[in-house]
Amino acid sequence: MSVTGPRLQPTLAELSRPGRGGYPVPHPPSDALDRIPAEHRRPAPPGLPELAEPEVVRHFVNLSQLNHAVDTGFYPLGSCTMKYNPKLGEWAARLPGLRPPPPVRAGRGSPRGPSSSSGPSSRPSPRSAAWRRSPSSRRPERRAS
Amino acid sequence: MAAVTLQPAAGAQGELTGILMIRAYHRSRGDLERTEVLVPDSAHGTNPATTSMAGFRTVNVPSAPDGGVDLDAFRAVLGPRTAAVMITNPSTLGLFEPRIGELIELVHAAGGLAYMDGANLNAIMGRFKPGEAGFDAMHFNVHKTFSTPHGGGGPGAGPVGVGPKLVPFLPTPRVLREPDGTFRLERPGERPSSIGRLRSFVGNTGVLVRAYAYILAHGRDLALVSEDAVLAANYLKHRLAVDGSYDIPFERPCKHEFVAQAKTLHRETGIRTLDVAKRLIDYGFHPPTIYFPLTVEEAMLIEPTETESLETLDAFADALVAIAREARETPDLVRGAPHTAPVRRLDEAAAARKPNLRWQPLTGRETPCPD
Amino acid sequence: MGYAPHTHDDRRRMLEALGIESVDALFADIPPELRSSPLRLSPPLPEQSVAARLERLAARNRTDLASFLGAGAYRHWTPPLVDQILLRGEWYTAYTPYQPEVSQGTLQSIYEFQSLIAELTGLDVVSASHYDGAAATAEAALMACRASGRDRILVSRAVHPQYRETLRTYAAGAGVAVDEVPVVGEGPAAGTTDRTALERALADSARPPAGLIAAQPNFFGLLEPMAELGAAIHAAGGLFVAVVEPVSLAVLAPPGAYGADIAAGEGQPLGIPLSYGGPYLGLLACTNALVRQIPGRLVGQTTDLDGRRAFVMTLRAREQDIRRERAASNICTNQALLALAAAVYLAALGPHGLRDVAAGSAARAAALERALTEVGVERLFPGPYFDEFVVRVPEAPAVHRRLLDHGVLAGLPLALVEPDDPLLADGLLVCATEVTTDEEIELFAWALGEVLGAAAPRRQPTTAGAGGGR
Repeated sequence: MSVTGPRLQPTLAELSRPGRGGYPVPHPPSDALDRIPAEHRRPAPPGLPELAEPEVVRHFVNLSQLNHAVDTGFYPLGSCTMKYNPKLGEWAARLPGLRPPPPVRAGRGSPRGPSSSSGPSSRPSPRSAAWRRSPSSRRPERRAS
Repeated sequence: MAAVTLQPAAGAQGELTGILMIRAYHRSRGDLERTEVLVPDSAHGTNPATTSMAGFRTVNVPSAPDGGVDLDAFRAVLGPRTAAVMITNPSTLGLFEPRIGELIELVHAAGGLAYMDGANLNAIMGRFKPGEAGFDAMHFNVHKTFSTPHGGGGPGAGPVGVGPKLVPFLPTPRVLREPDGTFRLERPGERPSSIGRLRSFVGNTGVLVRAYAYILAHGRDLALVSEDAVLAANYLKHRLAVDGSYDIPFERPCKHEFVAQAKTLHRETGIRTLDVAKRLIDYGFHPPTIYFPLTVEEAMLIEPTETESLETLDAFADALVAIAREARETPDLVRGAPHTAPVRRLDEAAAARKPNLRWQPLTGRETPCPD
Repeated sequence: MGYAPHTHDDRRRMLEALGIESVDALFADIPPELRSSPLRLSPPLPEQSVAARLERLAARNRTDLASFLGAGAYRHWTPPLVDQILLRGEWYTAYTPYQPEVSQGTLQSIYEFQSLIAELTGLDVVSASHYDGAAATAEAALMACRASGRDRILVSRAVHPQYRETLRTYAAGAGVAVDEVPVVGEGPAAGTTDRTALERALADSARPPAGLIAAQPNFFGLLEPMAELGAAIHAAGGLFVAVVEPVSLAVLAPPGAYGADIAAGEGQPLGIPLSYGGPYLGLLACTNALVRQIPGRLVGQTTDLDGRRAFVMTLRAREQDIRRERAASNICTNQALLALAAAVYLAALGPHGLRDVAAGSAARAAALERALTEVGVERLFPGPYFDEFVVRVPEAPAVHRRLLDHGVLAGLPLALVEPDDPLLADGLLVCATEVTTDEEIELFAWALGEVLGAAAPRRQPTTAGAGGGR
């Protein structure tokens, strides 16, 4: 017999505390939305919960432990074929070529800064992966430094 | 099958794709009178629901005592209004449809097409090819047969294979191979006979990659997958039949799953299939599918699959036998189960009577924006 | 076959128990004339060989491009915690939570997802998920037909073309007529739904509309006057279906605020990585009044026998396994794991994080617009946009191809998806989000200037700094 299950969890709303946490996202310039007319704007941010990352992780890991799954036990659900899912599949579906990652951003510390509004320089910067790996035969020489 | 579309996002969308192609096929021939799709009464609910979504009327076909489709009843409803028959094979009773050849011949002779619900393909790989047998369309649930994870209810993918008659109607875009060996997607409007799109982009690619990895890893040994799945199901069925606590309505060999019943147990102890299922949780097992198929009283549909060890199969059979004993000796223990799960049985009526589908809004309670 | 636990001895014991010599006896019920030819497949491969093969194939996809492609799926930073949570077997190897006592994790996660999307959309009821934005939009249309008892749907031509194609496919089966409302061709409202044409379509009293579908932002990235569109269809007795992009809802008015009855959309931007089209996440939400018409699973709160709070699938009488041919839809398997991803993403970002992602995307798009303007490339439609817009580029498909050689995926040439629309022939739909770097924008603008300069010297930009590299 299985032992007594783990405890139930509060909801995200119950865990939320005003001013807590928030995943670090680069701050956009303060005028980022000024060009969007007021009638299209949301007057206040959506009422999403405010949590720190450790709480989010614990919440969902604890919730996961309330589930029965093929990886935890026999699941003889007729007509559903709950067989073992080879982990090779998870690896394969996450190959970078099948799930292109976003570029790693230079971030706020970059010389230009994320809110830079200047137009293109005389030559594009060679920092991006795209630049380095462009297969073009017409690729211009790298920036003369 | 002559061709396959990988676009449908799940088995049910695959069914819709298949039935819409069948609709387009009849219309392309100017045959507008075919308004009915025949569906055996043991079918998954998706079959009649799909039929309605595609604009057809469902005509239910009763089962014969052996679990197969009743051929006389089938003949009686077959006719010039029949667009198609949807058959799950092996059936939802876990039985290979014994009269499958006749069913396909009859529907074809009547001018209809034959659709196979491929939900149970895991039982017959390498033993039965629906295309060779004459089916005109079938869907595959890759989250079943090809072991892509169910994800708590999805994502899946529901590729559909079709015979030559339905190739022109496949959803767009298809992947085409150019003479130089490169591949491209069909352009919008390139194949006007297509039924169109079922979704945006090209399909649940990430799911299909997992299925592809599974197929590559097994290769022709997929036939052994089916053999092990069928052997395990028959072994488990045999263990329960020998014990006798549960009714086993169909004696002949099952495929990958089988039906057991708590019919006698219920009559003798008042303990129902639902109670047995909940008590299995206390033994560490997920319950089987219960009260399905709808045609079988106090049904448990048990599918062990090929990836469970003999020890697990035996432990599960032992648990079912022990629960039957508990039903006689300590019925309240069974009736009150589960006892060890995170929660006990739920008040489902209250949930439906006064639906609470979200937590109370946080709007207005959050901190103002830092900027 | 490494996934099967049976030893030779195990199989022998099972066969002995069954009193048979070979497993063939268990397949004897397949009529001999219907038995299969052999599987024409390769021998089984060890995992490392499978892995090598898949790696080779995956490497043929170009992921080195600076991408400005949106058009229905968007690049955003996914916090690593999302995938770490998703990789727990308790989530991804569970099934539909039919047995609530051992599925409280999945059930509560769906309830949280419903709550979070309800907050974003300003609507009351959220389905546990649909296949993708297109299928959710088609289901929304059928829902409007059921609720209104009508069988004609109006859809703006500024809704994603693939959504409209999907809608037509679903509508054909359901016997629903789909009428498209054109977009304004010129002037300040160019590229948005033509309200004069809408009024004409609404005036057809012979076949009153069940609903109107419009997108915010629309396919061209533009902001539509949703309140006015909603008022127009409501006046005609139909329902208003808003197709929304969820990240934008952090800063744009939510559907509930402008009178939408139903919201549908693609949930991929909420922490779900691009994956060649899927699996993504269909969002579908509606007002309380429509709760019995919404297709797909719903999870509700209740209590167990001991009075503890618990969650369960509810209002199941709408569903195919109960209602069969009278179900609201045939949907069964949905996109539950992706709904979990969205819930984790929204919980991690919170209201300010999501707002920063949305505002950051709008800012990067503005930076992109400025950079393209400087090489002489202007927007095709002048109205306000969120993070995506159309620029006028003659021979856009050819230019797009040439930009690939510069390492730039220059969005989507609209002629590829709307080949018959002269208004869009020179349109290039481009997008930037919070992950778009300055370097990518510079590269795009420079390369576009190069390509256009080479292709048509008369268009050579004269702005200082433009056409760099020559």
